[in-house]
Amino acid sequence: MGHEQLPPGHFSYFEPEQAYHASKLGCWIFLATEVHLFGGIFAIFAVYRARYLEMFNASAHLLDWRMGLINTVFLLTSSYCMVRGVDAAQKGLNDKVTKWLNLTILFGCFFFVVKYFEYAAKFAHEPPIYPSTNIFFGLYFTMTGIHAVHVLVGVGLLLWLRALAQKKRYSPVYYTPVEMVGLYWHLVDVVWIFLFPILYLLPGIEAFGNAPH
Amino acid sequence: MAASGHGSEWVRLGDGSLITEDAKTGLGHMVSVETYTLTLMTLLALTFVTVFVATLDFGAFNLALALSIATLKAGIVTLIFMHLNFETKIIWGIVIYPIFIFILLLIGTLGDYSVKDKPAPLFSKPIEIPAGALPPAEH
Repeated sequence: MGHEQLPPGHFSYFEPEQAYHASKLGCWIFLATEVHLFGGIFAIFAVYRARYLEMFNASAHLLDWRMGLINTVFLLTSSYCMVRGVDAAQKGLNDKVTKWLNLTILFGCFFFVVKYFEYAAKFAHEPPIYPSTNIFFGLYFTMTGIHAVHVLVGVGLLLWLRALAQKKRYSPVYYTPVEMVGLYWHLVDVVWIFLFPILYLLPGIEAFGNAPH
Repeated sequence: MAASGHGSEWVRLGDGSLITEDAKTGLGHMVSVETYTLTLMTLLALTFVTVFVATLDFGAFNLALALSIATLKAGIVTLIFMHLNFETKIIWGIVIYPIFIFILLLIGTLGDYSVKDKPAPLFSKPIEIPAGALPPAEH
């Protein structure tokens, strides 16, 4: 292919920069709607926690905070790999993009493995713990479930990004999909950053020789 | 960096990707790899801080501490990983707007809950009616 051929993704725009900024604006607006979605559920949690504080604390003690901690580390690390992928895409290094996206997908999958064991432990608990057990577990399964669906969608998007990287689609003037999926992936990480302390840590935990309070 | 796509010469890099002559640094803001690594280390350290403070009993301050650390972590992710620190004012507006709505929602719901099942002070006081203000009772 010769000169004066525009890179892919700029069909509707005169300038690549304009296309890039329009995409980014749209992506942030989408993220704002995601904040509305999770914010609503967080508000429900806040009100019910205020109403049934003792029940919430007793129920939260049944969660395994170690699993939550491992998943926090996995998601933070995957966010780091994602941002390194964006960095590689900004430099037009498609092979490095593939490498970092592989790691991002891997940590996303680790998250699911831990989530599986966590949910399985709840169902195997005696008596079994279901979303219908009480309002805390109803919210626990709703919040972590909606979050997990977001991670699943994220992994799907990452696989798509990876396919584009293997086709050498990214360059310093066109890496929009990597950055936009990156923004989404980081938002999912931010939601987990709030979910972890709110669900697992608030009633106090036993570690480092300290008893739960 | 601005990339003036129209009228520029497109050149192909060694790995096959296209680039304009005057846009070697590409679109968007670049952050150094070292900054990203340092950010990850900070986030992991803050995660262990939040776990550690959960083992200590500060009473009502446990909630405030947990939420403060989470907000700090979320801020770091947003500012550096999501490049918000280098974004335009309109993007900042889009970020602040749903947070503002969420705070309104919390004030509304928690505020309403906190007065629930309690007599509302405004209407709980007996209303004093001056003599002669009411029409005489009919018999």
